[in-house]
Amino acid sequence: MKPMDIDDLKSNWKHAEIGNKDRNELAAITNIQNHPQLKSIRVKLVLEVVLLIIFLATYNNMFDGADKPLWANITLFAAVLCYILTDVIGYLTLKNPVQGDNLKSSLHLFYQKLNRIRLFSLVSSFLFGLAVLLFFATAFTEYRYIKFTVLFIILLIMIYLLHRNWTARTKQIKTASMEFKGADDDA
Amino acid sequence: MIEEHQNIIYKICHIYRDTKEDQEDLFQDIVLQLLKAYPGFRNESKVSSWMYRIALNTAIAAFRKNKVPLDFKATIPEALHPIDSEPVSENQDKMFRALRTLSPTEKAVIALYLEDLSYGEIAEITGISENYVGVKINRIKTKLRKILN
Repeated sequence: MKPMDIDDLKSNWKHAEIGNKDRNELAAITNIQNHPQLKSIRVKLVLEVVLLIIFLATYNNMFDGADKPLWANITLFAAVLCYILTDVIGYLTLKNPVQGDNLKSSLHLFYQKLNRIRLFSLVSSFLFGLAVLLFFATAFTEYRYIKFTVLFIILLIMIYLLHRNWTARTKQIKTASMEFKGADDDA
Repeated sequence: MIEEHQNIIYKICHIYRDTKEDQEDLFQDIVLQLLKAYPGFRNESKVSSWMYRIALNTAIAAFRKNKVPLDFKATIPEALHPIDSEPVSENQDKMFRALRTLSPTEKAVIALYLEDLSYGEIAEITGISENYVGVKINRIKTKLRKILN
């Protein structure tokens, strides 16, 4: 095969006829319910929200909420609500990657939003973990400081893993946004 | 409109995703974003330019199931074959594999260039200056020549 030059590339690009979906197939994929990635995020969101609401509705009886200090109950309740709110905002943000009138501003805005969501997510997860820990720690009798420290370290490791996950998720958008931003300085 | 211009979406999917499954997922993602953005579409720009903007934006920013970072290799991996069911010529296959080695921003600029958009139109879609569009295209051409030959 002869080497391809830029003109060949242009010609190949223009003559690439690879789209062959008919109207019915297109109509089927425009249904957001069928979107594979958003569906998995939505399932996770719904599952978390349902489980947390069940937890809020039952923890008082199941885990003797009435016997715990009022501050532990209020902290737990607020942390769960904060976690649910962050989940919902995160889902709505991920659903809308197109944010501006051109690629440079859109990616910049989207990256800023994701960064804010990342911060909310880390803080709300930490608060939720800490609230659960404090709630149950009030019942510790033996080795209470050792138990609390071990569980607190586990919580910090989980937050670190969450942070790494978010960094990996936003890396490509950050790189592209910075490439577009740096483009004009470079010219 | 999408049926008529679906080739644009497919081409973007082919240069931004390696596997058939990822390409189909991205196709769906782009179609959804186009439908969402359509009420805001003003006839000031060409439909194809508007579609390119939304499609490229989605391809770069869309959330991906597997969080494996893209690895931009200097050479084209032989093992990667883009699709199974849709026939593409050997030359087109070679072209898509070469384009996939570029960075996401380079892919966006070269896709618009290959579509014969003017530097002004490319600048408007990407948000970078016309001057830099020229610089960037020359750099990408040099890179592609090395890969293709």
